[in-house]
Formats: sequence, structure tokens, C-alpha cells
Amino acid sequence: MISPINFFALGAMLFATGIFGLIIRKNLISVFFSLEILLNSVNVILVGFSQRMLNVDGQIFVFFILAVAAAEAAVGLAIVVSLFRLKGTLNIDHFSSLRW
Amino acid sequence: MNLLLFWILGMLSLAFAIMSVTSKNIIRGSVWLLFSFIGLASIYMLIKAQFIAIIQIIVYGGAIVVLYLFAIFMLELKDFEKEKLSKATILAGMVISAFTIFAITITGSPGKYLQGTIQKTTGALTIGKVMFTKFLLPFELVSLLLLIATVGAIIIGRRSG
Repeated sequence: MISPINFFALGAMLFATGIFGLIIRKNLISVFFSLEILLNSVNVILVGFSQRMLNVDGQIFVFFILAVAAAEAAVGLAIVVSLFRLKGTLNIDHFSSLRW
Repeated sequence: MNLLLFWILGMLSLAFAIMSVTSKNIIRGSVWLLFSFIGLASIYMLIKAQFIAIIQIIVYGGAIVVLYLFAIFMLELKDFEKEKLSKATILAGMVISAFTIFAITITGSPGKYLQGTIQKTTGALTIGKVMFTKFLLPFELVSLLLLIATVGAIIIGRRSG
């Protein structure tokens, strides 16, 4: 049996990777990759705890998170495609009209 | 033995995640992301959460990454190779992610966890039984969410009008 601290450590490292990519990348699609990694890091902790505590609710949460991630990818990529048509680039520095 | 295998697979998927986040070529990045997801699916398989492992491969590997690849192919990206990263941004990213690891591990790992009802946690049968009784309303709402997302994606993505 793998103890919870391991799932926490792996989840935290994956989450930190996602945050790192979210901060450093300028390409909009890479930012989406980082978002997917963030969602997956939470899934690792949920599934690990579900197996450790012998309760299936965590895995059902993971199922719902997967559905939300699929919806997010579909809508996000539609936004990316229409932004690319509008501006001709995917560099997030060019999308600053709504910045204060 | 299980722990060793867990950490080998975990480090593998972490390495692929880092490569996907840092690679300049986003097509390669998406393929590294796919490998990272498959590594996570094998971790789920290792801890005997087979249903989630298979769903992970189908949804992430089969749907989301392929969707990303199709979107990348439809865009004519010329300038993604010359993305400049400043040293200060990389440093800020490292500091913030180190702080994130620290915060999650410190606040989350110790302490007592509340035990819910003990039940069998492997196989699609147990998950299906709970999903269609206790979580029936969220399940139906998720189907509505996916429908709305599909319609929204079509409306946002279509050419003017």
C-alpha cells in the first residue's frame, strides 16, 4: 500500500510544473498544455486517496473533472482558432486589450 | 516494489510534463503531453484504479491531445519557433512553483484523514453503482455541460456571422 504522502508529493510536483509553464510560456497553446497538467495533478491526488481510503467517491470526482477538461479543451480551442483569425498570432503579449 | 514502480512512473510522467511545458515546438510538446498522460494512466493502473486509467487514456490520449493536434494543424503557425523567454520570467516561474510545492506538501500531507464508508474501489461495477445512485444528478448535469460546450465551441469557432 502506497502512503498518501507519495501522492501528495507527485501531485505537488506536477502542479508546480503546470504553474511554471503557465508563467513562462508566451504561446497560447502551451498555456493550455499547462492547464491540462494542472488538472491532472489534482486527479493523481484524488485517485490516490480514493484507493488509500477505500472510498470510491474520489474516482467519480476524477470522472467529472475529465468531463470538464474535455469541455474546456473544446471551448478553449475554438477561442484559440477565432483569436488566431482575428490577430494572426498566438503570442499572449498581443492579446492585451482587456488589460488594465 | 510498488512504491519503486510508482516513483519510476511518476518521475517519467513528470519529466514528460516538464518537456511538454518547455519545448519550443508545440507539436512535439503535445506528443510529450500525451506520453505524460499515459504515464499517469499507468500509475492509476498500478494502484488498481482501472476504470480511471482507461478513461484517462480514452479521454486525454484519444480525445483531448488529438483535438489539440488538429487545432495546431489548422492554424498556420510561423512564429512559434521564435518565442523569447526572459531570464526574469523563468526565475519568477521557478520561485512560484517551488513555493507551490512547499505550500501543498506542508499544508496537505500531515494530519488525520476522515474515513468515509469503506467499500470496494476497483472495477467499473462499483463505480457505476455509486455514479448512478449517489451522483446521478451531477452525472446528468455533466452531460448537459458537454452539450453546451459543444454548441458553444461551434458558435465561437465558426467564421463570422
